[in-house]
Amino acid sequence: MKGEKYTRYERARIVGARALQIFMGAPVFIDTVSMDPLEIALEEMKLGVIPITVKRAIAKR
Amino acid sequence: MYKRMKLEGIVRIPPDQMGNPLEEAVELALRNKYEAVVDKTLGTIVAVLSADRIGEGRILAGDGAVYYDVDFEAVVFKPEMQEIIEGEVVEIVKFGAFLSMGPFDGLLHVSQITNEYISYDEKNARLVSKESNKALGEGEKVRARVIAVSLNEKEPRESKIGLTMRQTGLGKLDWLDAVQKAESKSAEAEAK
Repeated sequence: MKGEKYTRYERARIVGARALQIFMGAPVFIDTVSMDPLEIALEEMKLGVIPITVKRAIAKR
Repeated sequence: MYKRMKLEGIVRIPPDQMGNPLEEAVELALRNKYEAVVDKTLGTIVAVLSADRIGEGRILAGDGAVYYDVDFEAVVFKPEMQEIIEGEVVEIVKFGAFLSMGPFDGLLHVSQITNEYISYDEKNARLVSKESNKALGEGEKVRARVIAVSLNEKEPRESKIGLTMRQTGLGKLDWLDAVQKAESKSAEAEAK
């Protein structure tokens, strides 16, 4: 898939879920000056440290 | 009867628990969710012992928490029909006595205590029989049989357990001792 690990939809879901977790008090994995959960989540996504994976349903023929 | 069982459940780990080791968080969540729960088929879950297998975590839309399928071991107590239990009288009321049988209290109705007529002594909080001078008060140990079970899942305190002592071998432990002594005495007398 063009070297991309996730589709943009999956990335949005992961960042969204992670931002919500951070907002609800989950520990942050990176050093950052940012205070906004969404920005922190985006930064974590860029560094690839989010422990969330995607289970893809394989289409049936 | 108490049983040790392997159960399956789903547990929600909130984000503020994510810094802790997963097993600790899961066991804590299991305890909060399942301990003291009453189920019609299981009885009541007395204690969660350990989480044996923690499955893959799942994140649901709209909730930052992670959900895990967990197999765990627990101690459950279920009052079975016809089960013999030994317990302590915790309360005497006009219509009978309440027995503590661990997680639940069972009701021993006045009509189910002895074959004789029983009257309620309000001042001393005792139930007294007319003819053989038997009495039942709080704190005394008795042996009884379970004859009715109605567990209420939503209101565990509303669960009702009916008991009887009107069978041979059942009753206050002091009465049973007395019966046994009398029997061995008559056996001795016969042998002579």
